[in-house]
Amino acid sequence: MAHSGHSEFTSLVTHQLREPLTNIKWILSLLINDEVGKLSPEQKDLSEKAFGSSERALKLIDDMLKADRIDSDSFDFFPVESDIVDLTQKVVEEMKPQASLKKIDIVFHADHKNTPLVSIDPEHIHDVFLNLIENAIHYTKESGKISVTIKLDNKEIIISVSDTGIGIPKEEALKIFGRFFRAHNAQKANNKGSGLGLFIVKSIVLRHKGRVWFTSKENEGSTFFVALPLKGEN
Amino acid sequence: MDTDQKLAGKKVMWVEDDQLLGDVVAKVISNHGATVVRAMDGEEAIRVVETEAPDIVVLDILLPKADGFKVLETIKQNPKLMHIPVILFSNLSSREDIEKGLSLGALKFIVKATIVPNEIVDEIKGALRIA
Repeated sequence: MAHSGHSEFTSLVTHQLREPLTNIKWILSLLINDEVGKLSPEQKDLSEKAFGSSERALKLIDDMLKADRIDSDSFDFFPVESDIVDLTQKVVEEMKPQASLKKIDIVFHADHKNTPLVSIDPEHIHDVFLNLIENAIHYTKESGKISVTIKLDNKEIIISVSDTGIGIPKEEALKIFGRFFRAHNAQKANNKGSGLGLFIVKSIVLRHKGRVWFTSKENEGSTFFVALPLKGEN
Repeated sequence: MDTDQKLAGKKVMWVEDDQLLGDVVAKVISNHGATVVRAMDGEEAIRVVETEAPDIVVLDILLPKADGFKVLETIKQNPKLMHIPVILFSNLSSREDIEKGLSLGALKFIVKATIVPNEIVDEIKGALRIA
């Protein structure tokens, strides 16, 4: 808790917000699991919706806290030699249950044997891929497809997350990595995002001296690329 | 709802100053057969852990009178108590706090907001090596 000034303020505020929201989420979880008596189908449905709302509010707090840390001098960065294939695959597996709710297939391609270790902060890079895959799921229609691929270039490892989603309007492409920005078609399709995910992604990748960009066609899909420098290149 | 009784015979100490959250957790854990002893501030926690000798302590960090780090430190420096596994359970989530907790001897650091009640039961079972 040794952050100072603004950051300490944010940390305390988010902590104070998390506590009552955690209570709400936990009580709803008890209700949903029939631990305090059986609910009617309608009561269960409403409780599940309220549970989802509490989870979204907690995620927003989490994103705000991360974005604030990125902006402050308390942004911690501890790179270690890591297996990027293993890490990415874990995120893919983590996200599969969420994707399956929309019957979305996530495929993962990587040449594990020939991919070298890379110097990254695993916790932050985990957040990068979690955000990108979560976005891909949010903005892809039912029965769509998401493809996560790791390729080796001369000086970089390039990870791509490709979806068959709504795409990004050309006129909004330059703003997409901005703080709190949400494209107009994204707001229409899913009004639940914080608008901080891609800002967090960009900030973390830049901290790794990497690059992030995307290609997209409206109503057809998007591919986000993250390039991380190989050892000796950063 | 039928719950397994795999925590039967175990004494779980829950240190939490939020009465409501403490009530929710006590209900879930006791549904699994455990006895729950509670403390609502750091000084009470230090007294209760000595008198109750629980099988495991789940400990919040931001507490009145003495914070969770102080309680953890006291437990881990006492030869009679140091064997008791302690799970830190807080809505603080900075790496600094997590590393401090683990270096003081906590078995695990869990951010409250990231899990649901049944998952904390699984964490307790895991810490007590109950399959």
